[in-house]
Amino acid sequence: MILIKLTLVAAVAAAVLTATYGVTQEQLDKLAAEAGGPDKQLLEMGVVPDATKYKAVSGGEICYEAYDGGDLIGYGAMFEVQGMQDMLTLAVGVDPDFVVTGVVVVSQKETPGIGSKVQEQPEFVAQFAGVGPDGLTLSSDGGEIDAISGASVSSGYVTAGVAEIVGKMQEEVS
Amino acid sequence: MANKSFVGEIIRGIIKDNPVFVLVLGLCPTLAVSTSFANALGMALAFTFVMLGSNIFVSLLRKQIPADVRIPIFILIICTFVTMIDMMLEAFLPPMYDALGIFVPLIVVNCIVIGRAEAYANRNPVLPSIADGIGISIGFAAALMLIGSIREILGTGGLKLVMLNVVDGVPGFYPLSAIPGLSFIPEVIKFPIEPAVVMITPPGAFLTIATLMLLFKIMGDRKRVKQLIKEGYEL
Repeated sequence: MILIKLTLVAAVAAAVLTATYGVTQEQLDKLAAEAGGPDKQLLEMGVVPDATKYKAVSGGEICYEAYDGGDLIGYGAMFEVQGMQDMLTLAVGVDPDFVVTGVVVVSQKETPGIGSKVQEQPEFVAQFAGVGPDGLTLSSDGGEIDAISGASVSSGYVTAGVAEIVGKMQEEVS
Repeated sequence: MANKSFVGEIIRGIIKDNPVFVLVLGLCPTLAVSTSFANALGMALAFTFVMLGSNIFVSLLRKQIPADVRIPIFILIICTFVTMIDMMLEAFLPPMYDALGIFVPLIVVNCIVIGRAEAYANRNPVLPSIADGIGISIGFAAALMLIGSIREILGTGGLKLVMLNVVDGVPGFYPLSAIPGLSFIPEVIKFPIEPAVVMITPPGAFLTIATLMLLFKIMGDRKRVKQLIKEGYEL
């Protein structure tokens, strides 16, 4: 009897959640379609400031070529990298020499009020602009990025993530 | 239970059985999310949905739930509501989902919800259980927002008051000043104090909760002493 009741409750819970999942997934697909592909999102975030159009790099997975009219002015990419607790989604733009032009923390699940500052304090990601691939480490490790005080671990993950994405872009372009 | 009024049950949940200061339950989420007023408000809203849903269903099923497996069944019910609100927020209120982030799934491990299921809803009819859920939710919300405000003021030197609102058809947390007629309230109310970063870190949460708990205890004791004197005790 106990087993039957337990199974019954579990079955009802599963049915309710399946129904909710169906409804919400439909809505999420609709939202994703509205937001457009990565190229449209990169354009909206302006990680390569003067870009007017993004085009996927042929044979690449994450990298997009950024064009200002007909001129290739850099590359952009949006990718999930490891954060302190969960994945971070970062958007990174670079010029043709892979010097960073802009970084946006698209989503993060760092410690609220502490690690979440990497997204809440735009001064932090603003530091990345103008930094070449060799400077993409925290200043405590000899790089050019100053960690947010009190959030040095998350700052480190973001910095490592930007370096990882820039590295991937270099690989895909060459 | 029949002689207890609906309103009385709500008030009991807020004061006499305040989940944070009196029952000392749910301290983990309380410590984690009370860094600011806005975080506290978001957590309180999601918590209320789960608390009410859990209390109602546990109460409805209380005669059917075998005592041996009541805890797994409570957890199933709670998890179902948490997963539901998590998925629905993500799909229908994305700005609020982004603002709440990790706090919503955290409600699963909130021992207040399971504590009320075991101690109250499992033994009482639906109506009092709803009242209990409302009271405990308000008590939790008030505690979170009080702690959040104190920590935000002492830790950052300002207080950002927000409320749930719909602006341009987009629901989310907006500053009070976005409401017509309240535009005189600044977005961030500044306080002339030197911010102490420790207050928004976990030790700050312990300090704040300990101080508030002490105040609650003093108030409670005073009331009891008065009551005893009234009853004729010599002290």
